[in-house]
Amino acid sequence: MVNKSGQIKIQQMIFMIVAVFILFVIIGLIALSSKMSNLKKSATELERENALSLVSKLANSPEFYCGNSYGNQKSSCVDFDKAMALKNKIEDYEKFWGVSNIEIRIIPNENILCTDDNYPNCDTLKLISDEITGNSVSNFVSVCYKESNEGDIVNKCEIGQIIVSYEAVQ
Amino acid sequence: MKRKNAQLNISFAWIFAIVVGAFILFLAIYGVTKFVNIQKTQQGAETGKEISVLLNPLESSFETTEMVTIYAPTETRIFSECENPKSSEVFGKQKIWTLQKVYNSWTPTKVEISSRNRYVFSENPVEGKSFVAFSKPFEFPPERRTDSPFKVADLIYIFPSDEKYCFTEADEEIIEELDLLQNNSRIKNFYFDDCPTGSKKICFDSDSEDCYAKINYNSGIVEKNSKEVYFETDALMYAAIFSENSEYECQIGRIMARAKQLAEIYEIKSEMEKNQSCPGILDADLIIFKTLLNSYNNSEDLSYIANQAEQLNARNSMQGDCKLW
Repeated sequence: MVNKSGQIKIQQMIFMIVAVFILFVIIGLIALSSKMSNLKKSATELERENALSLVSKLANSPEFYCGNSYGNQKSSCVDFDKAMALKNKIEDYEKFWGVSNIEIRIIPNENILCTDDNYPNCDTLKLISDEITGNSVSNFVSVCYKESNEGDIVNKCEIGQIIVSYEAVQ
Repeated sequence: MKRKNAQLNISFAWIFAIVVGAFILFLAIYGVTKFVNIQKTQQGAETGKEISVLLNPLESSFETTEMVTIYAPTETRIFSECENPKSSEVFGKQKIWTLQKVYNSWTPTKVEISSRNRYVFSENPVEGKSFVAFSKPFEFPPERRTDSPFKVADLIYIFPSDEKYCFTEADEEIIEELDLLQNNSRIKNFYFDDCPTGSKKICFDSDSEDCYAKINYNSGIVEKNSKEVYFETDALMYAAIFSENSEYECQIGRIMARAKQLAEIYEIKSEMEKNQSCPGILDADLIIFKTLLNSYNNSEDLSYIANQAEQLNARNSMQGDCKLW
């Protein structure tokens, strides 16, 4: 009888300890998953902030800015010819800005994708990828390019949008 | 009977409870320690990324306009490391990571934030609770000599906000620029000639002994820690002042790699604009420029590249409606 009651006590204790252990594990897992979701949220938020601050300044970076090509130096002016040239060597620039895509649109936009064959008779230049990926932020800029009119060079500037896409952290 | 009473009477249940209890306690303490370390690492990583994001607005400006103060939540060390360009990473890399002081000890692990489009010049590490950052575009040739410079990159300089730099016998334009910069930002880190105690003395064309850095402005040489580096333009001079020599050399290598990529873009642009009746007279100069950039070894080579860039700029300025930049 004494032995049996001792065994029951030990069994009770083992069950109790296992239950407490499982309880702690569950609490730990819940805390971890909430922490992970917060981490993903703040990582995505930081990516968004990065894209936002980049899009407001990207037009003035040497790879895009008009410089004196179209008259006097202009702020927030994208040289469409230079951007098209950049597309031709985008493999070197793919990771340069740390965003998933950069797109330049002339407004009004008919979504005619720029290629070597149809340039400059197009209004959308997708630099890194032809597909739209992730979230995006945009900024208005002026988009300038050169056109030939009966042998004369004409500088054309239009209203445009520069769109930066970034991936949300999964 | 006596012997039996003298024995420690601990039942199996007690021993079992103590062993398992100790195991659970050990697991709990281990888990909490790990969790706190992860928390610290996460905080460090977030601060690093935040600093990296905060530096974005400093880039891509036409001129040096303002200094910004970056506040850290706690005592922070910012480390920056430059990775040289290589075939798989044509622009090289700028790595930034931070260590933070939490409960009187520095965070145990580092999480690097890499970027390819930033050029940060700072001591390694910079330590403090707040930091001052400002930027200046690097363009060929010196910004004062032409109206359409070949802009290559924006350089970012970081130092602790309690650091004082004293420029002695500096060129009037440098004094004006730095003075305007700090007046716009209402931050006072730069002093001229009248050096406060504890300031780092930047001596222009002087053999004074107590100089943190000696600048030979006309020859384009900065001497720091008994080592010399070469510069072209004020942007690179500041870079040499605010950073360590090896970091400076590495970053200039990265900037030259970007200049080469830009020259290639202008080559393609020139080819494209031939369809718009542009003559493409810069093609040969761009090839020479690229060749010089390709053979860039260290900052001593900067003067040859700057000379070629000057020629390139002069030709570009004469192109009328066909200017490439």
